[in-house]
Amino acid sequence: MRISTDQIDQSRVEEFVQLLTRDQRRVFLYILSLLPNWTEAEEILQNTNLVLWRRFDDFVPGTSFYRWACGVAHLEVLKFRDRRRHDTLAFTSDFISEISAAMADDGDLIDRRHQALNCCLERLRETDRQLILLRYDHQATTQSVAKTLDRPVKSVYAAVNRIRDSLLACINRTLAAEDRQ
Amino acid sequence: MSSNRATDLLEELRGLLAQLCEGSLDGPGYRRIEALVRNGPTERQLYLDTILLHGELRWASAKSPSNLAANIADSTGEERLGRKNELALPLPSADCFSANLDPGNHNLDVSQTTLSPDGTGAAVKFSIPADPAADGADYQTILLSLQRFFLRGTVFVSRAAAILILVGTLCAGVLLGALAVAAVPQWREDGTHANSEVTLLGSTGAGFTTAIINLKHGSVNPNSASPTLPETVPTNYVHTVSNEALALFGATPKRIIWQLRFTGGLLDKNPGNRRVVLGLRAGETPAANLFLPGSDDPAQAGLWVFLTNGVNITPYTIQLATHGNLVFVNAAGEALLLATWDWAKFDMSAHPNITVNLDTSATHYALSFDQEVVNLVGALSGQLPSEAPTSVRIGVFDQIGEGDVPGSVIVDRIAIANVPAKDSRTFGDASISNVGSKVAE
Repeated sequence: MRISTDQIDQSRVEEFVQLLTRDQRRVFLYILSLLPNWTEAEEILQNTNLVLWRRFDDFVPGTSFYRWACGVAHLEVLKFRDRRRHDTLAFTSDFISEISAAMADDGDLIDRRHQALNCCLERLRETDRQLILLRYDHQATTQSVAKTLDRPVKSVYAAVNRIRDSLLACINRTLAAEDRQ
Repeated sequence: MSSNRATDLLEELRGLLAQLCEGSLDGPGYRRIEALVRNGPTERQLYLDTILLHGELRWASAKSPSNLAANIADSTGEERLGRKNELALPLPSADCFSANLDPGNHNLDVSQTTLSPDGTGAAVKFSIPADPAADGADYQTILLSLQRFFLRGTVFVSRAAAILILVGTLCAGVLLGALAVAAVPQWREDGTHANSEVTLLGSTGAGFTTAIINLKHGSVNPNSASPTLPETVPTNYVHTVSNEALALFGATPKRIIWQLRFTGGLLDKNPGNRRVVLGLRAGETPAANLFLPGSDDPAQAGLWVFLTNGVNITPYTIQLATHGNLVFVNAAGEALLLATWDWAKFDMSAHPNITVNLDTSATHYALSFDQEVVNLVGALSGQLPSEAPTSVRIGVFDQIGEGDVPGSVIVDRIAIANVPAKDSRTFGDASISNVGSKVAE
């Protein structure tokens, strides 16, 4: 790995840190949409961050950092995919490119959905919110949640799916209402 | 296409996406999702919406797993940065990172911190005093080494600017916590919260030898009253805390040090009230989790230290009662008990703090404690049954027992260091070279 040895302007460093921290979540979601595996997406996010840092001189101020980062992340995903070309638990390169195009154009929509999710989580029934909290807790699995709640795994699986569907529907309703206004 | 047919396809896609989120989708399932998503814009939108929701929930939970809804809510609006102290208070989990690069001469100084606007990221920037003796390779060594130790962060280094930037992403809560401690110095352990602080020790120079990032993490006992907890907590709610670091092990032995403090839990002699696992896990597989072995969860290969009342490793059952165990899990997932010691003879009330040292190389191990324990079975040091991988992950996994069992284990430090010379000399010998432990007659 080559590290840039150019003198780096302090303000440029600060600009990079600001942009990177602002868009980390969105870039992570972009990567996850191409490679829907949590740990693999994390790894690619790290690699992407490093490339962004090394190539930050190529970034044109005033343009979309998110789009630029998505371009870099797309290549990192394809490289990762290529290294694991025998892994069947992944999408094909063509499919990845198709999704990439859709996601890179949807940066604003990601933020809108994020905002809508806030409202929808608040509207959940308390028991449902508790369940989704447990399920998405760090390192939790449906099995571990079922064990914790002393409920059948199938029941928890079905409930989590129901809550996710409910949240999806709520988000879509919220966005549709905003669009009508 | 008929509407019934379209509806059927969407339902099929929903089912597959549920499996995808669950992590149980197989290869043909991936192929089928591709085909369905290409069927039309509705299917593609359903895919994107589902993945975005899945990712948002996981991202938010990684930041502060027990306060998901609040965290998401906190991450919006103009008040975000002003609420960083509140964001940092619920710190149910954190990561400890340690790196042993080589001793050096200069400290790293925290020069700037940056919070991301949505509260899910944070950056801490350190300056490294310029060192004429250092060359690009040295800085590259730092970068690569530290990067490996940051499981959920990214480390950048610029040689000429002599700046090291740590950008926390999914472990942002840790960094936010570190920032908050500076802002809220009075926040200290009260039985439900442990203090949280960050110690950053680093050095650079001709040898680049030591860079220890040592985080004390906050822990929350969800069975105790706490203003940060949800109003309704199931009585059998289990809260977990994990700390991980990644280290390289080869022919030269390294010492992994866990400094722990206990409240409740192990102090409670009732079996089943507590179990704590110190995991030393093999491999660099990104899918590997530091996971509490249970009847449904095959153990990861590597060395495991259980400070425990009883743990199952599929398909083996390790000693029950108040015994601690050192277990080696080989590449085939077979668990071998290397040693068992007796906590019953150890006065934890008098010694709630304990340091556990595990010296290991690819071929040998030696376990020691700073308090005396009585070994019952096996040897606390010796040769591994088969060669261990050259890289492992270490960590602490804390599970509060079921029911209203108060207590916590506080990980003050996980560090990796060279084995002291006096112990090195005997390392690999079957005799015990550690301090304060003895083999039962």
